[in-house]
Amino acid sequence: MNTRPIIAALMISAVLLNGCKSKNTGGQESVQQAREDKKADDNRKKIDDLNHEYPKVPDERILENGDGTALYRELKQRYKDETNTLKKQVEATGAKLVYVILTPEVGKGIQNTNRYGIPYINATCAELGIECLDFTPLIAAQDARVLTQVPRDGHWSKKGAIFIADHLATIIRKYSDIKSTVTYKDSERPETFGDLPPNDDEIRDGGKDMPYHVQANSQGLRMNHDVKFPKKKKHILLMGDSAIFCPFLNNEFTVSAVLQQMFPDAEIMNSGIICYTIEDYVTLWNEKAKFAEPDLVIVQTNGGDITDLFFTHRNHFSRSGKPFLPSANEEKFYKETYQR
Amino acid sequence: MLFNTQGFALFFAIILACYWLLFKWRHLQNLVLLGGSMYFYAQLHYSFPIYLSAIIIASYLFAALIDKTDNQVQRKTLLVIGLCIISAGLVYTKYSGLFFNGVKGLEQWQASVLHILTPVGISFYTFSTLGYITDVYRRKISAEKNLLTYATYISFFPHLLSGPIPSAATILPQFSKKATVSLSYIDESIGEIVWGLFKKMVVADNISLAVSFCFSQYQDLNGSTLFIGVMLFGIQLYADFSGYSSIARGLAGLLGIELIQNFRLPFSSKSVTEYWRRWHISLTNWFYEYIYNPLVVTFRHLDRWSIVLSLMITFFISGLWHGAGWQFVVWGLLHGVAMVYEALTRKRRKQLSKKVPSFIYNVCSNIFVLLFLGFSWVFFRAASVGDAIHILSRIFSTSILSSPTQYVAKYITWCLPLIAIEWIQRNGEYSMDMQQWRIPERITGNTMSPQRAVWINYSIKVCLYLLVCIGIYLFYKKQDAAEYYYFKF
Repeated sequence: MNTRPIIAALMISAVLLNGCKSKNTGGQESVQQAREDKKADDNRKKIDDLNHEYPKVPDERILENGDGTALYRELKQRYKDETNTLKKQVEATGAKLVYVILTPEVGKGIQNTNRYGIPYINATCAELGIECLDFTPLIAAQDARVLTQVPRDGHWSKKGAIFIADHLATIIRKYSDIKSTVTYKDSERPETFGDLPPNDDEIRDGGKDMPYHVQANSQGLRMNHDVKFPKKKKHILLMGDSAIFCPFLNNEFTVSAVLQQMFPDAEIMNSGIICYTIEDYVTLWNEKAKFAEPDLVIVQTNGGDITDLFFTHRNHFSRSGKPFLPSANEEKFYKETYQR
Repeated sequence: MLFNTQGFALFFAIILACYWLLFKWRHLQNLVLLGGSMYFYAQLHYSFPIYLSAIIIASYLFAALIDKTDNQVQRKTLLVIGLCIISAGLVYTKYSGLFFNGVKGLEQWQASVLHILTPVGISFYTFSTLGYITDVYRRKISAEKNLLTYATYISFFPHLLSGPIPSAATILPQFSKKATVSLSYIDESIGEIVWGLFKKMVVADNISLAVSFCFSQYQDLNGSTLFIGVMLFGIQLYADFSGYSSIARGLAGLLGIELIQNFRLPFSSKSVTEYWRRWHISLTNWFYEYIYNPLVVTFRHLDRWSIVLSLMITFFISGLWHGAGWQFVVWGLLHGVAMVYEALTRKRRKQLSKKVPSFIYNVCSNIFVLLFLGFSWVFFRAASVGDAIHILSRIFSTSILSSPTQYVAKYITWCLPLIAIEWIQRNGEYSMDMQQWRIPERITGNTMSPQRAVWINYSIKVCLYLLVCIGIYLFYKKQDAAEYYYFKF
C-alpha cells in the first residue's frame, strides 16, 4: 500500500487536533511551544537569508593557501572544542569514545583537507586523551576500485564495507567489557535516536542512478530492527557522515549491518548521515543518541570535518537548525574567494 | 529543456503568445516556430541545431530534385543517394560504437578521432525526413517548395525529440494553411498536457526508482521481485513515453497543429500484432510503410516466406532503432518471431477462438501477450544480453514462488491510478475526455439549454484538470527530474 496519502491525511488531522488541543489547554505549555515555534521559524528565515547572501560552500579552497591561514586555525580550534565537548559528554555516561579516521580519499588521491586535517585530528585526539585509529594507511594499501564504487561514485562498495567492518570489529572486541553507567527511563527517552525518518523504507538513487534500499527502524537509525530497552545486549553507536551511512549500498551491505552479523549479541546502531560533521555529532548525542545508552561510541571522522565547520556549510547542512553567522576570518575569506 | 520544467513553461508561453499574435501571417508564425524549435534544441547542445539544419537542407534538396525529374532511373538514383546521406549521420553517430566495440585499435580510434556527440532525437527526425523523400519519390506528395515551411515541420519542437514521427502527408500541409484552433480543441489539448504530465511526473518518475533498483541489483533479488520490477518497467516505459506523446500532442494542439495519437491502450492487446497497432503507432506506421511493405513486395516470389523474412528484417531494424546494443537486437528479433508465429497461425487461432468462450479466450490471450512483453522488456531494459539472461534465469527459478520484497512491491500502487483511469476512459477520444459521460444531461435531464450544458461541461473539466494538477504537485517524484527515458533513442 502506498501510505503517503494516508500519512498526509493523518498529518493534517494531527495538526488540526493539535491546534484544538492548544486552544483548549491555553496554558503555559502552549505559550512555550508557540515561542519555540516562532524561534524555529525565525532561525529558518535567518538561515535562508544567509544562504541567499552566502550561497557557496567551499571545501578544498579553504586550503588553497596552505594550512597556516587564520581561517583554518579557527576551524581547527572549533573542531577541537567540539571534540572536547563530545568527549566530556560521552564519558559522563561511562561509555567509551573512539575516533576512527576513515575516508576513501587516500594515497595518491589525497586532497588538502585530509593531508592537513588528518595529522591535526591525530594530534588533537592525543592531546585530549581520545583513542584515535587512523584507517587511512590500511585503505591506501588496497585497490580503490575494489573498496569503493569508482568511477561511478567514491563511497564504499560491498567489499569496502566488509573491509571497514573487519577493522572496526577489532575496536568492538577490544572494548567488550566497557559498560555505560547511565540508564534512562522510558519517559525520558526521545522518540528517535537517529535523524533518519522513522520507519523509512524506500529506494533512493542520490541523483546518480545508483538506486539503493534505505530502511530505518522506528528510532531513526539505519537498521532493520528496533533497539529494545531495558537493554540486554551491548550497545555500540556508530556516528559519522556518508562513510558510516553508506549511500549506494542496501541496508544489508552497510558497514553497520556487516558488523551486526559479526556481533549478534550486540546492537550496532548506525546514526550516520551524509554531510554531518563533529558539530552535528555533539547535538545529536545531546538530543537523541545518548538515550540509546551506548557502551561504545565510534565516531568516524576525517579532514573534511574541519573544513565542514565553515559557516556556509553549516547553514546548508547543520542539523541544529540555528543560523551560523560568519566570523571575521570567514567573511574575509568568502569575500576574497567569491565576491572579488 | 524538459517539458515538465518551469523553463519550458516560460518558453512555451512566449512562443504561444507570439504565434497567435501573428495569426494573420503564416510565414511569420512558422518563423516563430522554427526559431523557437532551434532555441529549444540548442538548449541540449549548441551543435544539435547545426546537425538538424544540415539534415533539413539535404532532405529538402533531394526531395526537390526527385520531384523535378520524371526520369525513373534518375529519381531512384537520387532517392538512394538521399537516403544514404541522410541516414549516414544516424548510423554513424548512433551505431558506430556498437560495431567498433571490441575491435581493439578501431575502438580507440573511433573514440578519439571520430567521436561525435549523438544528437538527441536524431532517430525521430531522421525517420521523418527519410519518410518525406520516399513519399515524394512515390508521388504520394509533392516536394514542399517553401524551405521555411518544411524546416518548421521537421524541427517542430513538440515532436522533435521523441515523436510522434510525423507523416508528411498529414502534418506538413498544416504548416501551410491558416492556423485555427477551437475552444473544444484547446480543452482537449490542455487535457492531453495535464494527463501527460501526470503520467510522466507521478507514475513514470516514481516507479523508475524501483525499476532501476531491480535491474541494477538483480543479483540480490528473488524471482518474484524481479518479475514485479520487469512489469513495472513496462508501465514506466508506457507512462513515460505515452506521457511525452500526450504532452507533445497537447502543445501542438494549442498551436493549431494536430499530431497523431501515438498510444491506444497497448496493454489491452490480445496479440502482439494488435499490440504494435496500439504502441508507438507513428513508428509502427513508419516501419509498415517504408520497410515492411517494400520488403514484402521485394520477396513476393517467396510466397509465405516473404512475410517471415520481411517481419524478421523489420523487427531487426526496429530493435536497432531503439538502441545501439545487442540486447535491443534480441528484443527486436523476439518480437519478430512472435509476429511471424501470429502471422502463420492466424487461421488456427481463429478456429480456436470459436471453440472457447470469447471472454476466456480474450483474457488468456491478453495475459500471454503481457507475459511475452515482460519477457522481451528484460532485454530492452537490461544493460547487456548477459544481464538479461541472468535476470531471466532468476525469474524462471523457484524463487519466483517466494514473496516479493515489500519495498519494491509497494511501487505497484503508483500504477493503479494510471491503469484505472485509462481503463475507465478507454472509449474516450483522450484520457481526460468527459464527453462520453454526458454529466450535464445526467444531472438535469435533457431539459437544459445547450449553452448551459457546455458551461457545466467546462466547469467540470476545469475542476478535473485542477484535481489532476494537485495530484501532480503532491505526488511528483521529489528528486531530480529523470530524463525522459525515450530521449536516448
